[in-house]
Amino acid sequence: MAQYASYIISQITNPLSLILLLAGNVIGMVFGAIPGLNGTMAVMLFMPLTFGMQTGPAIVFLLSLWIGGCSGGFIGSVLLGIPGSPSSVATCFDGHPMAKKGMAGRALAIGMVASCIGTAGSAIAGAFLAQTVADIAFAIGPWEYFGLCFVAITMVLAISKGNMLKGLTSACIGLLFASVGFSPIDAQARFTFDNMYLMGGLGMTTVLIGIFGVAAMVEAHAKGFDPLPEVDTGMIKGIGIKMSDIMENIVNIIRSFLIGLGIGFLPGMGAGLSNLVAYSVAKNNSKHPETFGTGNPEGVWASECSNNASIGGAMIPMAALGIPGDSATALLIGALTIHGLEMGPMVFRNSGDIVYLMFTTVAICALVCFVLQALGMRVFPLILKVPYHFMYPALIVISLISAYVDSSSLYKCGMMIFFCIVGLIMSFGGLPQSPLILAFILGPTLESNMLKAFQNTGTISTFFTRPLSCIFMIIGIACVFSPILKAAFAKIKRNKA
Amino acid sequence: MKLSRDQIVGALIVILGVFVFVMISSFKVPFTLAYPGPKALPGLAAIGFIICGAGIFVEGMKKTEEEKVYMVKAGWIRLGINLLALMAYVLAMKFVGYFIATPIFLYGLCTWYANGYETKLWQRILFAAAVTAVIYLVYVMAFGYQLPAGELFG
Repeated sequence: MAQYASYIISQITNPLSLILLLAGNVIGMVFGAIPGLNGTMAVMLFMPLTFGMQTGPAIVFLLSLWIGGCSGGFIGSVLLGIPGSPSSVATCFDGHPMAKKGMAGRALAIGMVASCIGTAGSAIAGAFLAQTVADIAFAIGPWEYFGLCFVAITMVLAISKGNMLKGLTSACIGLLFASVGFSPIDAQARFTFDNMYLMGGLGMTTVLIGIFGVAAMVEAHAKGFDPLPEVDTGMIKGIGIKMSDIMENIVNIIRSFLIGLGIGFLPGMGAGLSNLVAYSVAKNNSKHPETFGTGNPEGVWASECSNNASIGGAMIPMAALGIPGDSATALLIGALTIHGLEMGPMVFRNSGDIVYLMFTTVAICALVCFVLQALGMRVFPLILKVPYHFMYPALIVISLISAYVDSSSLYKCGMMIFFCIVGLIMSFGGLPQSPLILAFILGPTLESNMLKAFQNTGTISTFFTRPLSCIFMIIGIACVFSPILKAAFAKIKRNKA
Repeated sequence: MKLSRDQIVGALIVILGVFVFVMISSFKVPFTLAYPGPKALPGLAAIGFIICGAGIFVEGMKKTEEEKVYMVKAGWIRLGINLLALMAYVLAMKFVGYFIATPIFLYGLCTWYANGYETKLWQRILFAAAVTAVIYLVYVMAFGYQLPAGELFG
C-alpha cells in the first residue's frame, strides 16, 4: 500500500481533484439532505460528467458525491423527521425528538461525528481487508462468481419491503435490460431490432436515470409537490457535544461500526439495513431502552455510525470481488468499467494505486464532510427550503443532457424518456427499485460466469458440487423462498405456542 | 368489472414474458442443458415475468380492501403534459439546438411547476439563463463535451 502513496498524494492534491472533492461533497450533502433525493441519485446524475475526465479525478468526484449523500442523510432526519435517504431512517426515531426538545444542534453534532467515525474508520478497515479478500478470491472460479452475483440479487429481494413477486419482477426487468445487445461468448444479437444504438447494449445512464431520476421527478410534480418543510432555525443552538460523550458511547459506537461494516460487506445489502439493525441492537443493550424513540442520543450514535460504516464494508467486495455491496457501489462498478477498470481480485495487481486511492478518498471525504457540516450547520435549514420548481426542472435538464453526452446523440434522450415511462409503470405497479439496479449491473457478470462455468464442465451439477458455490446457491435459493420459509416458521411457532 | 392496479400490472408483465419468449425463440444458438447459451438470461427473465406476473394478477384478484388512488385525474393530465414537454424539448434541441431550447424549456417548466407558489418573473428568467449557462460551462468549457447545435444552424 505504501508504494502507492506518491500516486495517491499527487491525485488528491491535484487542484481539479480538490475542487471536485469539495463540490462532490457539497452536492452529495444537498442530495442526501433533501427527502426524495439521495447520494445514489447524485452519483447517477453526475456520472456521465466524469466520462471525459482522467480516472483519478473521476473517482474522487464520484466517491465525494456518494459520501456526501450518505453523510447528509441525517440532516433531514433530525430537522424534519423525514429521512433524507433510506440509510437514515433510524436516525429519525431519536434525532427528530431531540430536535423537538431543543437539542437539534446536539443531534446534528452527533450525526456529524458518528458519520465521520463510521466512514473514515470503515475506509481504513476496508483498505486493510480488501487485499486479503482479493487473495482468497483468486481461489474461486466462475461457479462461485455466479453464486455471489445470484446471492447479491436475491438478498435484496429478501429484505425488500412488500411483495416478493414484485421484487422478483423488478430483478427480471433488470436482467432483461442487461441482455440487450450482443451476448457474451456467442455474440448473438438480442433485442436489438437491427438498431445500431442497441447493438452495444443499453447505457447505464439512460436506463437508471430515466427509470429512477426523471420518472421520480415527473411523478412528484404530477402527484403535487409536498409543501416546503418548516424548520425552526432557533432549534440549532451550539454544538453541545464533548469528548466525554464519545467515551460514554464508545461501546455503542464500536458495536454499531462493526454491524455497519459487516452488513455493508454482505452482497446486496448496505446502509439501508445496517442503520435499523444497529439501532435495534443499541436499544436492546441500553440501560434505558424505554427512552428510545423519545430523543435518546444513543439511537442517533448507533444509526449514523453504522450506516456510514457500511460504506467501507460495501467497498471491500466491490474492489476485491467486483460484487457490489449496494446500489451505489453497483453504479460505481459500472462507472469504473467505463474508465477501463475491471473490479475484482486482479485489480490489486493491475491497478492497486486506484483501489487505494478510492479508500483514501473516502477517508478524506469523511473529514471534509465533517468540516463542511460543522461550518454550515446553520445553513442546513436553507438546503431543505430549495423550491421544487427550481430544483426539479434543473435536474430534469441535467438528466437529459447526461444522456446526450453519453453518446453525443439525441436518440439516447429519447430512450431516457422511454425508460422514464417504464419507471412510471413500475411506480404504478409498486415495483421496488433496488433489485432492478443490481440485476441490471450484475447481469453481464452473472451471465458470462454462468456460460464460462458451463463451458468448463457442461453440467449444472457443478454449481452444487463445489462447496463455496453450493453455499451461495443455497443462500440465494433460500432468499428467493424466504417469504414462504418465514411464513412456515411463524406457523410452527404459533402451533408450538 | 373494475381491474385492480395489481391485475393490470400482472397482466402487462405476463404479456412481456410471452413477448420475450417469442423473441428468444428466434436466436440461432440453441439452448441445451450442457450449454444454455444466449437464451439463458432472457429466458430466465421471461419465466420470472410469467410466474410473477400471474402471481401478482392472482393476488390482485384476492385483494378485498379498497385500493389507494395512485393519482387523481388532474395528476394523469399533468403526467401526460410532462412527458410531451420532455419529448418537445428533445425535438427542439434537434432542430434549434441547446442554447435556444434549454432556456425556453427551463422557463416554461419552472413557471408551470411554480403554479401555486409565489415567484417573480425575473427570478424565473434568471434561473433559466443561469442553469443554461452553468451546464454549458461545466459540460463544454470544463470537460470538453459537445451539446446539440441544432440542425437549423448547421
